[in-house]
Amino acid sequence: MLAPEAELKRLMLAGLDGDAAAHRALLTQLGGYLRAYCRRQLARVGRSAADAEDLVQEVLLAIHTRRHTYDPVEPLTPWVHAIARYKLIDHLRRTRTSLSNVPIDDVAELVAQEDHDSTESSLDLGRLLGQLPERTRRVIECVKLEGLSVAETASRYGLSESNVKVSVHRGLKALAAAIAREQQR
Amino acid sequence: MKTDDLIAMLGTNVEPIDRKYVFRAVGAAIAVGTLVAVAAMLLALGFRTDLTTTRAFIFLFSKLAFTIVTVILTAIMLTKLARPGGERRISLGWVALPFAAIVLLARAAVPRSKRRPEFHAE
Repeated sequence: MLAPEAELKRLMLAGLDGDAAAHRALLTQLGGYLRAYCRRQLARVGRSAADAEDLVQEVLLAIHTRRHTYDPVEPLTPWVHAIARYKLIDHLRRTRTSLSNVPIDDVAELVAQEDHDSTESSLDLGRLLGQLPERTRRVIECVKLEGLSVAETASRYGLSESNVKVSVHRGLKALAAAIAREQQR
Repeated sequence: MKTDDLIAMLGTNVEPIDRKYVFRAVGAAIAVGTLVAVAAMLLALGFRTDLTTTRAFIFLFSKLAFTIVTVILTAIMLTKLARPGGERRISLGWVALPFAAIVLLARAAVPRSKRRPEFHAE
């Protein structure tokens, strides 16, 4: 097996070029590392595995929507670790945990363990999608859930292809914001 | 929601990413900022007509060089800060460089006889 950094970076670069299978494989592998990382960090402040799964999903969504900020000449793991750490701090701030409880960790901690034993998060995708504007929700359902191409979705709703791409991007960012609001409740 | 469902959703119809996006965004911001600043300066102050002497030209060149070096260094820092984890890869010492250069230039420009005693090296 390749070292995690080399393998993850290979998948990331392929994903940046539009390779959907590589992107899915990347998110699946990262999910395992992030689950172990989030559970470990949240356990230190007495949080449950369901909380950790919420956080894992928030981090995965942020990784997807912030892909354009990854610099291909740099290692991937510190970039993922930074996003995970920002989201951990946001999560603790939203759930009113003292920021002094945020553990000081190292990049190596991110890939120290894997945990593929996922639990269901408290988030409901249908309800989250329902919070989006109708057109954005329909476009995301077509492109991301039904698997229609951008061109097919564009012709179904009489939109331009760039309009569909913008709607998907904005919709995923709105979805991330909706997840953050859900966790605040 | 299951994480696998989220991954399946995010991994469907993945679009290629513009890898130079951050550089182009920062470059565009600098270009627009420069144009607005120059237009505001010309509107508010007009075009200087007293740049015929060598002394005035050197003074203008020094100010332009300071501004350009500062913009280049801060743009480099900004492209790093725009990326998660980038805050660990910047050095504020580089940003201080043009300011230190101006202080040294100012010190060299003032004749020794006109410096206050505490600024003398010996």
